[in-house]
Amino acid sequence: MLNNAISYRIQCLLLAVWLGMPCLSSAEVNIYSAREEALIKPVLDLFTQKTAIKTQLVTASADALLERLSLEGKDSPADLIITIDAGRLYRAKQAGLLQTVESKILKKVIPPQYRDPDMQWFGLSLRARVIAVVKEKVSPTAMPLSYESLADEQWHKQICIRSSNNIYNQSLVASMIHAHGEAKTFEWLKGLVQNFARRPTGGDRDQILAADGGLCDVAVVNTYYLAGMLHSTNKAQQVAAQSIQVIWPNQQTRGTHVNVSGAGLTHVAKNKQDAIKLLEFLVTVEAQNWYSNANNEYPVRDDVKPNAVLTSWGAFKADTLPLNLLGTLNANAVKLMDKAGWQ
Amino acid sequence: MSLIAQRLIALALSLPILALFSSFWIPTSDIWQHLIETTFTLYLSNSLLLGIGVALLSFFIGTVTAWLCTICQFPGRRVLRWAMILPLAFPPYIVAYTYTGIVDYGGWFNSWWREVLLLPSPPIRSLPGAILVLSFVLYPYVYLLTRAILLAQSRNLFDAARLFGLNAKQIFTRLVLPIIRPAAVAGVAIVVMESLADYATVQYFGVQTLSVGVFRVWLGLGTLATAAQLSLLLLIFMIMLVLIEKAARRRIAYYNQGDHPPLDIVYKLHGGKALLAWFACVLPITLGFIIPTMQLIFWAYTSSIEKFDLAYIQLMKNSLLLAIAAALITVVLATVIAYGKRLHASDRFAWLSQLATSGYALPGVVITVGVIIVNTSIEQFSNTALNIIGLPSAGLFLSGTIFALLFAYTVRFTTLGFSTVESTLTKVPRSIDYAAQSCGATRREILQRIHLPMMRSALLTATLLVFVETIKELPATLVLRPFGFNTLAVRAYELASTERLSDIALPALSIVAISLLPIILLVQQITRQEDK
Repeated sequence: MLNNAISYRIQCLLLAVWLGMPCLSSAEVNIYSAREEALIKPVLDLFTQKTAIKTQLVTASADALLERLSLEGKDSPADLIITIDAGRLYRAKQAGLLQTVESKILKKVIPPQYRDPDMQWFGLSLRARVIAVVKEKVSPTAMPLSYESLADEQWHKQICIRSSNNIYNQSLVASMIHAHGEAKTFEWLKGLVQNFARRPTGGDRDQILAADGGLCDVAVVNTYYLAGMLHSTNKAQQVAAQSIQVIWPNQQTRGTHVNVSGAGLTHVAKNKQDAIKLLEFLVTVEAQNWYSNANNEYPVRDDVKPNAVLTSWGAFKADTLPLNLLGTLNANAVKLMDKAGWQ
Repeated sequence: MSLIAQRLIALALSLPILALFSSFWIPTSDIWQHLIETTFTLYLSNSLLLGIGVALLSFFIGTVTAWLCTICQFPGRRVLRWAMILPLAFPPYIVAYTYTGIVDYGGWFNSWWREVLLLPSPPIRSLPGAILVLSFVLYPYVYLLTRAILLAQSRNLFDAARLFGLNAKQIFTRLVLPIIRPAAVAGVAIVVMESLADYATVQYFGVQTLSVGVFRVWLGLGTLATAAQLSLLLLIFMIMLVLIEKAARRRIAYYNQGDHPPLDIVYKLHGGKALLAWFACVLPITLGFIIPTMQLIFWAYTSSIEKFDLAYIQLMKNSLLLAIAAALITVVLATVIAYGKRLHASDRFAWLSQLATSGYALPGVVITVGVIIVNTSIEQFSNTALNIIGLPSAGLFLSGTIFALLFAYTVRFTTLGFSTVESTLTKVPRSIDYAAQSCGATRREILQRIHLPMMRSALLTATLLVFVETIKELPATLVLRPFGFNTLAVRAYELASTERLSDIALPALSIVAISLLPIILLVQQITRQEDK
C-alpha cells in the first residue's frame, strides 16, 4: 500500500484543495450563469473595472442551476441568474426564484416585449432565428419567406434543422402556437418534418455545413452562429457561411422570431444593490456594443447599432409577442414536436 | 472492520439515489401517457440497440486483443500490450467531436468521400456512429479485465490442451472463452453502463436514448419528477446487468491456485498471421486514440482562441487535485464496502451496498440532482437544529463546496472501484482466511497481511480508473462546483457547446495528457506483472 510519506503528501494536497476554495465576500455579485464563461466574463470584467465590484461565476445548464438555486433556499449565495433564453427566465419566475427590480434605467432602455411585465427578468441581447438559403440553389423568386412556407411541398427533403431537444426550436414552435393555435401548428409541424433532409443532428453550424455540402437547400439557424462562422478561423466554416443568404422570415406578417439572453435578480440576493448596478451596466451602450461585437448578437436597445456583419444582413421586423409566452407554451411545443415525430 | 461502518458508508452513498426514488410518489401520469404515446418506444429501442451494439463490439475487440497480446508472440506486441488501453484517456464525447470534424460535412474525409468517390455523406451522426465511438473508446475495460484473468491462468492448462491435439481455434473457443467469459462480461457491463448513462455523445449524434429522454423531459417539459422516474428505468436496466455480471462472476474459475508455472507465450506467430495480429491490435488504438489525437493537434494549430497561460495552469491544477482526491476517497470507500460484503456475506442490508455501487449507471446530471437534494436537506436539518438550541444557522456548509463535488464523484464512481476490488477479493480463496484464523490471526491482521497485499494491484487499477473518470467528469462538476472554479472538462464543454469545435483542442488535449499519467502507471504495472 501507500507508504507514509506519500499519504502525508496526499493529505497536504487535500488540505490545499480545501483552502483553495474561493471565499465568498460581500463586495461581490455572485452569478449563476447558463451562458458560457467565455461569452460573459469579458463584459463582467469590464463592469469590475468601472465599479470595483467583483463578480463570481458558476456556469452550467439553466435547468440544473435553477434546481440548485431552488434547493439551496434562502441561504443560496446566488444574486443573479443569467440564461440564454426567455423560457427559462419565465420558469424561474414561476418557481418564485426571482424578485422584482425597481430600476428606471432598465424600464426605459429595454423594450417592453423583451422584459418581464413585473420587472423580474430582463432581456440583454437578441438572437433571431432565420432561414438560411444556399444562394446558388434557390432562385430569388422561390425563396421561403416565412416559417409557415417551410412546410410547403416545394421543400421536400430540402430542410436542415437541429433536434427538437434544442431550446431555440422549442421557442420557435411556441411562437407558432401563439400565432396559429395548436391544431394548425401541428399540421405545420407534420409538413415540416416530412421536408427534413435528414434526421435532425448536430448544432446550427452543422446545418449550414450540410447545406453548403449539398444535402439541403434550406437551413434554420440562429444569426450569431452564421456570423460566428463568417468570422471563423476555420476555412470550411467560412466558405460554407459565405454560400448562404439570410432570409428574414415573416416580414409581411408578425415578424421574425427572436429570443433573448437575459438575467434576473434571485429571490434571495444578498448583494441586491450591486446586482442591480450590474444589470444596469449590461444595458449601457458600451456593454451592448460588446454583445454585438464579441458575440454577434443584436443589442436589446434600439439605439445601439449591431456590428458590420449583422448590419450587412439588413434591418428586420421582429415578432412582438411578449417573450414570457415562450415559457408558458414551451411544454406544449415539446409535446407537439414529439407527436409530429420531430426527433 | 465493523459492520456498522460499512453500512453507514453504503447508506451515505445510496442517499442521492434514494432521494431520486422519492420522486415515485409524485404523480406525473399525464406526461407518462404522452411519452408512451409518442417517444417512449424510441428511447427504449435506441437504448437497447446501443447497449447491445456496444456490448458485442467491445466484447469482440477487448477479448481478441487481450488474447493476442497475452498469449501470442508477434512483432510489436511488447508495445501494443499496454498501448491497447490508451483510448481510455479520451472522454467519448470528445472522440465524437473529432470524428464529426473529420467525417461530417466540412471535414476533409467528407469532401474526399463525396467529391472523389461520389458517395453520399457517411452518416457518422447515427446510432451505428455512436456504437462505434463508444466501443472504440471503452473497449479497454474489457481488455484490462480479460487480460488480468488470462495472466492468472497456468501454462500447464494450455500445454495440456495442445497435448490433446487441440488447435488454436479450438483452444480459443473451448478453453479460453469459457475462462475469460466472466471477466469479459464484467468489463462489458461497465462499458454498457457508461454507454447507457452517456448523454453528451448520443445527444451530439442525435440518437434519442433514454438518457436523452431524461433530459428532454426535464428541460423541455419542465418535470424533474418524470425525468427522475425515467432515469430509474435506466437503473433497473443496470441492476439487471449487474446481476448478469454477478452470475457470470460466480463461474470464474481460477486454475492457477497451486504452484504452477505462470502463463507465457503459447503461440509464436510469423508472416501473414503475425501481420494480421498486429493489425488487429493497431486498428482499435488507431481509431480510439491516434486519429482523435491527430485531429485535436490539427485543431490546436488552426484555432487561436485558447491560450496557455497562468489561468490555464490553474485549470489543470484544479482537475488534477480533484481527481487525486476523488480517486483516493472512492477507492477507500469502495474497498470498505467490498470487504464488508466478504465478511458479512448474509447481510440483511446487502441491497444497500448494491444501491451504493450503482451510481455509474445513472446519467451524471440526475445523480447530481440527488446530491443537491441530500446536501441541502442535511443543511436545512442542521440549521433548524442549531436554531432550536439558540445558535445561529451555519448556512450552506456543503452546497457549493469542494466537498459536494467529491461526494458526487464518489457516488458516481464507487461502481468502478467496487467492481475492480470485489473481483479480486473473490479470487482469494476463503480457505486462506480460515487458515489464518486458525493460526490465531485477527481480522485486522488478515486484512493487513493477507488481503491488502493481494489486492494491491486491483487497488491501484481502481484508483487509476476513478482518477481518469474524474478528470473527464462533466455534469456533476458543472452544476456543483464553487464560484469561479473551473476544470479542463468544463472548459472543453463550454467551447463545444457554443459550437466552436476546433477551439476545444487545448483543453481536450490536456485532459488526455493528464489521463495518460496514471495510465502510464497502469502500463508499468501491466508490464511488471508479465515480466515477473
